[in-house]
Amino acid sequence: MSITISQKTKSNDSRKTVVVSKKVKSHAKDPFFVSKAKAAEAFLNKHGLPAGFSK
Amino acid sequence: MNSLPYNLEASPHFLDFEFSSTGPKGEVRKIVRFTKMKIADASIEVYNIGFGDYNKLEDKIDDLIVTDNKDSDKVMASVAAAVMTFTDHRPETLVFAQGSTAVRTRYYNMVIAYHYKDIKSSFDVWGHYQGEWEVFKQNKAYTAILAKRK
Repeated sequence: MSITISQKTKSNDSRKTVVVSKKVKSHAKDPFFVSKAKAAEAFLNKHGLPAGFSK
Repeated sequence: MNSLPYNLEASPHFLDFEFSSTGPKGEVRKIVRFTKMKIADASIEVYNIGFGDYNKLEDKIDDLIVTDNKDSDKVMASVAAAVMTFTDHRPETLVFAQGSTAVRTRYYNMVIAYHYKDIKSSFDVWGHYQGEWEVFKQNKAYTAILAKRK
């Protein structure tokens, strides 16, 4: 998959691009994402991580 | 099932991504977010990936809605592009994914399995099965996924 990162401008070629934009707000406090992350934390704190990723 | 992703917009810290799904149901704004988690005894940073539809009227995210814009492959390709970009900037992190429902988790398993040959060239992937993490195998019903950029 080819990804082009372009600061504030889009590439003119036919590949899809990722444009960095200050208009994209942080959803860190959105209840949906907070809830999902809490559930994920609970899962991983219960089951742990694959071998090699724990202290 | 090979689709090009939609164009993505990313926040300056590459933690939030947005794109517009277009189809018979019109334009639907999709949000992808990477949230850092606190995992006991982890020797590496772990982020959860979440994504859903943005409800402009209620200013909230919903991932239980079934948009059915006939573009699920393109949506998945867009989410994959977000993962690729996020890990471009944070290669030493684990990305955790789990569907909000068992049906969705099975769907994500299927998508990863279908594209695994391409995915494994860039990522190490593990699946959680019957209480244990193992290296991802196709045709297995994992309840959660972890991935790390190679």
